[in-house]
Amino acid sequence: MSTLSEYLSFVEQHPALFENPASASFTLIFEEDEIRQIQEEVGEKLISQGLTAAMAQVGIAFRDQYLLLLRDAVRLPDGSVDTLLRMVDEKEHVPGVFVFPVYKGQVVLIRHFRHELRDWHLEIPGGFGLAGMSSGQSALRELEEEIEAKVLRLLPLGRVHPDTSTGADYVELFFAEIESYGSLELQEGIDELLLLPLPEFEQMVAVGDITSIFILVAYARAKLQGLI
Amino acid sequence: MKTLEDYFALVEAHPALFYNPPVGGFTILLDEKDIRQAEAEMAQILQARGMPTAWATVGIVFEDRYGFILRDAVRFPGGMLGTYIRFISRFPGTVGIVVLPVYQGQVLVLRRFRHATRAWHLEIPLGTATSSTAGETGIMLEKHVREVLMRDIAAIPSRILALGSVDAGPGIAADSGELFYAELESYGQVNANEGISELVSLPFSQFESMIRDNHITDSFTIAAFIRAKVRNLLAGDN
Repeated sequence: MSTLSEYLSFVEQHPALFENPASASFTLIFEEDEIRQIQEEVGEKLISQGLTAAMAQVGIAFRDQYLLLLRDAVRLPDGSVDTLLRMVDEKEHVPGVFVFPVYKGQVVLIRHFRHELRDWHLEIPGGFGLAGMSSGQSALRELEEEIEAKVLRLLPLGRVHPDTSTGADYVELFFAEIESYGSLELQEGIDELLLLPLPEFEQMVAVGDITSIFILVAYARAKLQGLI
Repeated sequence: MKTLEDYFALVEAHPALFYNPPVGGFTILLDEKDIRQAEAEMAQILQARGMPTAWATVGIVFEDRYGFILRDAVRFPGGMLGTYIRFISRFPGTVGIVVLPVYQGQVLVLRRFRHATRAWHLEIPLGTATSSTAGETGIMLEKHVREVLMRDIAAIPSRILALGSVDAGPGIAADSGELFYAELESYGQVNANEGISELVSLPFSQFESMIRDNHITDSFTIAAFIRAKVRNLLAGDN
């Protein structure tokens, strides 16, 4: 956890992360005395809930090679105050990518082990974007790395925010027609590739057997663009 | 940063969080010697990248009113050791409740300010079901749908249909959501304290164009739309 002065220097260095747009519902507070007052008020509330005052402390709440969490002091529309947590990118955000691959008219899904769920899930290829690489290039890289796919046609399906309540990150989606695929990337926890005829895939969407948010959004966009 | 003892106490109290499937996946290492080895290997990688080696330390690395971040030691399928972070909610089983509201043949979309993005978004109502209600399905979750609709737009539904579950995609949190379709009898004022400034009423065709053309980018809104669409709930356009 950073000190308040470290947080305020961070604010100064990254003004784009701390904008208070016109009529913003949750106004960020930067005045030191006011922040301390809000910390105290929220801290007392947390203690009464059996938690600790440290959990109200404003600053860089957590940082490692994967994640940066800020806890900001804010004023709500009704005048009350709170400290709110959010995930941010320190450098310019490089969006992640996910690709909806179709092989000879069939939808290609992968079975992927997810550490946070401790289980396998049906997904589509995707991952982090890399600085200096376009999202389209990242999409091709993910298809190559995860399923060794050779691509005939790659089309953008637009942007999606995975969860606006926790982070500002967004993902770029693509549709890909592939001419071939090969070995799976076991190191990434991918152990099976499924080819699904479109009616079967749509039935799985309808009955709720496909739960991955990126599959659902990519499919929705591809359908609305007349690609499926 | 808590100690490794605190981490082991959590392992003992919540073994399901540390489940290792019999074959495959990323195996969580719980032997102290293996953990130290994984930490050392990750620390070397971090050092080579000019990053603090403390970012390799295994344990409960962050705690907040909402939950914890764990950094586990894992063996990847290729045999390599490393560390992997994940968020564990303080309220296990908490699910998001996402509701696609339809009033007189039009979809109601909220203009909502989000602190995390510091921007306005077009979204449908979204709330959570608390731990005391975890595990509820179908009709029992309907009361949460009613609460979310009342809280966000003071709406009363006349018909609620479950559209199934979604999971939030690869990331650090095991988040999941339950999607619903709701036909409304009435609606009222938007809840400004939830960051909502406006309610936009859209014919189905316009709702679809806004999703297609990237004006609506919220994943839960689009997921609820496509589940409703494949069930022909949005067929009768006007």
